[in-house]
Amino acid sequence: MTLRRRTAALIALGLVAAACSTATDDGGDSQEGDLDGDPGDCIVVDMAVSSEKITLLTELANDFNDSDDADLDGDCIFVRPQRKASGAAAQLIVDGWPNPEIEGPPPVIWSPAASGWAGVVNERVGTEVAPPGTPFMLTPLVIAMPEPMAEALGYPDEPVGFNDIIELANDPDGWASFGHPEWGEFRLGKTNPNFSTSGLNFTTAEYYAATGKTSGLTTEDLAQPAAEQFARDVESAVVHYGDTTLTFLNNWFAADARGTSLTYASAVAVEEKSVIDYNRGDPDGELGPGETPRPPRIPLVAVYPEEGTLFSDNPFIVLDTDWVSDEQRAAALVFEEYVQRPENQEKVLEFGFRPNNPAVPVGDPITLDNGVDPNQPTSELEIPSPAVSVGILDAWAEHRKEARVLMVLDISGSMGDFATTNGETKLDLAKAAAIEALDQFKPADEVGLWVFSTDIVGSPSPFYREVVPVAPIGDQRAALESAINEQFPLAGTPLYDVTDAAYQQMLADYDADKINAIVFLTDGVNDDGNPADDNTQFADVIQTLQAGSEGAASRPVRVFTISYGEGADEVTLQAISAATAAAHYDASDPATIDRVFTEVISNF
Amino acid sequence: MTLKRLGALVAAIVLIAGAWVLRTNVLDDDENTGGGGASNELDVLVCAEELAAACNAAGNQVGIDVRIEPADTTLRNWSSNPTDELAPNGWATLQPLPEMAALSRDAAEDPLEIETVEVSTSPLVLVVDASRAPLLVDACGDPVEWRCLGELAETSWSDIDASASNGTVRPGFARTPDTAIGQLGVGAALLGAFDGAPLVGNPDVIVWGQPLVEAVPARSLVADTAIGTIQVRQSALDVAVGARAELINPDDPRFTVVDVEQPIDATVVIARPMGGGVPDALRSALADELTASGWAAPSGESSVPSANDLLNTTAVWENLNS
Repeated sequence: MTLRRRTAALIALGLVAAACSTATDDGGDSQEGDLDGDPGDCIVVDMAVSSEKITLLTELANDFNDSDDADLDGDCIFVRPQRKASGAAAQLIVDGWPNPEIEGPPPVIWSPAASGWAGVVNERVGTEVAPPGTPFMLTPLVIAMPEPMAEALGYPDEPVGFNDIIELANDPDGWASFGHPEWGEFRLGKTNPNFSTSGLNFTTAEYYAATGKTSGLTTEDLAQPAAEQFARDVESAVVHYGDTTLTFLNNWFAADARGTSLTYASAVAVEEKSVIDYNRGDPDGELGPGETPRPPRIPLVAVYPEEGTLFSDNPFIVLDTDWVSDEQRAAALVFEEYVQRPENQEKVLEFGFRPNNPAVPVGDPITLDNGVDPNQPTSELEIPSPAVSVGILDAWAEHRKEARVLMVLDISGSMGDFATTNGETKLDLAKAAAIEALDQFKPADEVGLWVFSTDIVGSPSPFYREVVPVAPIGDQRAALESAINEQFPLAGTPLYDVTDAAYQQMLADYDADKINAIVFLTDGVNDDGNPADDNTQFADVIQTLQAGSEGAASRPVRVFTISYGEGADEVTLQAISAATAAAHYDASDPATIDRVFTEVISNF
Repeated sequence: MTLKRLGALVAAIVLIAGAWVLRTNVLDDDENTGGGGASNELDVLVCAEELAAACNAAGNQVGIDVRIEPADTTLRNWSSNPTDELAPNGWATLQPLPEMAALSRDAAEDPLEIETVEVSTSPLVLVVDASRAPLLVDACGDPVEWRCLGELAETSWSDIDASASNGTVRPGFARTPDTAIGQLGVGAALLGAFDGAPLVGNPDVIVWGQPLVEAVPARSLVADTAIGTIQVRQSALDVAVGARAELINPDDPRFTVVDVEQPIDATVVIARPMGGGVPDALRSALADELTASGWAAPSGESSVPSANDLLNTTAVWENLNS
């Protein structure tokens, strides 16, 4: 199928908006922003910046690098931000920032979304490698809801709290209890707390709600059976997880374009700034070339939980690690002072964050017109101690919603192409990454493996083979590892046939208590030996996926796609993911596949 | 002596005389030798974090390097570092921190005389969430009694007034001991609440102080100070203790400024080891910057706790925190 015809098909299906964004563009990728110039002989200050503020920080860095302020005792300073999800950066710092060729240079300044991450790092390392940082700007955690849904709960006249959300999430009648059976069950979106600050903050709020506290949460509280059950109940309402809220926002926005946003998700835990971006028509806060903002049909409303909430304070943390020199440390402080100036804090406000400089009062765009309230929140939940935060992450790993995942691996001939100078093929790297990713599943998660290519023999289908059936991974982890290792490259790439077959199989065995998903990795374009029906096959697959994923009574099976290597059909894979309100991941550089697999599995 | 040599001698005398005139008329004009004695050039102004903006601007104006650091770090350095090391430094902070350093050195039998020049002043006040202020005043009077404020910490606002919305009373101080304004606020509260009574080992102090310490943990402060925090993150606390001048917009409708009993002043000083002298140009530039941000000229009658009292109250607060 030509790109033009496929794009026309996507337009017809209303999937362009979602297909044009990929999860890796938003999340843990180590992309740099659109930075001008070259550092030359300047003192380079590398920054790891959480994804939602990369555009802002890149703009500030460009201005700074071009200014006379970028000076330390006569030497010029060059600040170089790179995008890195807070939790991913935290883990990299704990690990000593391995693989800089893949992960980007180790940072001098780390700016996660919230200071709490520094405590997690220090707790895990055992020393203070991440000293207290200076907050740069603020944004509170809110519950984003489509306006009609918030109104159905009585908001804003009636306060809404975490407990109300959680009660609704556990109500078997769902929205019917509020007179809206057409909205189906209550669907909660929250991110993986190991990666995302809003995920960490919401999970923390869960435990506060479970204990009835607003401060003083202890590790003993987390271990209370009632608290554990409460957390399990909340997590059971989750659509899926993920490394970034932007996946939810992009999917919501795409669903809104088709008029189905009310059945994709009922509420998503996000930062206030994201509600502003969404309602301005720019759900990921990052307009791509040629992209124009389009206000949604149904705007979101930021619900500020009655019990209080947690803030993302975006600290500038100058790391105390062996890769940071005294000179870089001093240069970092020069940039830190620069961004706190009132004129730069005005920019913070333009981007929808609350300035940290009291000389710059909160104003537009933090307005009711944009779905947010400058006079909220009125109370806060206490940031837990680092030990409790680590305890929350550990507890979440136990209590999170279980997953039922079919991994579908391309073993076509092109997977035998060399990917490294050491003679490793693309398939070798993919197999290693897939095996590594298995460790992220908990024993009760169900995982299976299919491989696909043309000329498969000894299988009911010539296009794929069920290597390991979907079953609890605790019973078959070794079998999966062994089966993955045994694969070798074969022939063609029957992409559409396999997508449809895998989807039908997962739908047939659908389990409403789990996240049902397919992880689909391929390096090619559809090649089943019959190009004449490609267009029809593509349209049929997309329509099937979309029909099964939308509506109040839908049984969503999310298809998370990975385009692997330069030759992958990225547009088609994006469309497949968008049709199931999942996410597409870009591993066009095979060396990144480890990291990409980690990000994909963060959805479960 | 040849004519050439005579010419050289005259030239040398002229140069020496010129240098003397220059020093007398220019440099000496710029120095207030305060406590007398030989003057040392001021190389670096070490400045408390909460005064950073004014210090940086003043330093730029007069061409003096400025180093920003927590007031407590400077206090420790001046309490123990060799005199020679401190000689080229000036210290911009609040009273009575320089006196606290001198007192600590006396106790360690390593005395250091310190001279101070007052720069600006602002009264210590409470900046209160406007919707909560009437409740606070009803409960604790106007000016607010410190003892009462501590007793309310972490209780529910609805205990004061049944119609009040949810939430606990959260008075917050600037980071203590990191900031000078934090040490001053905590000192005012403890001294005000336990007027004349011993603080160390007093169980009443523990019962009273613990909720006050826990009401707003230091990690909730996004700015260095409580008043800085409440202006950018109003939900973090509802009563902020600090200098009135920290409130950027005195007419901000979100807040009400309430006085405290036994009023004291936050008085900015520049300190130097005795004989160092504080350049008038620096004092004046810093005063101008502070005046522009709401501080007032010192009246000469500032009310400030004694150095001994503040050493004591800061230590008590740290114990409550531990």
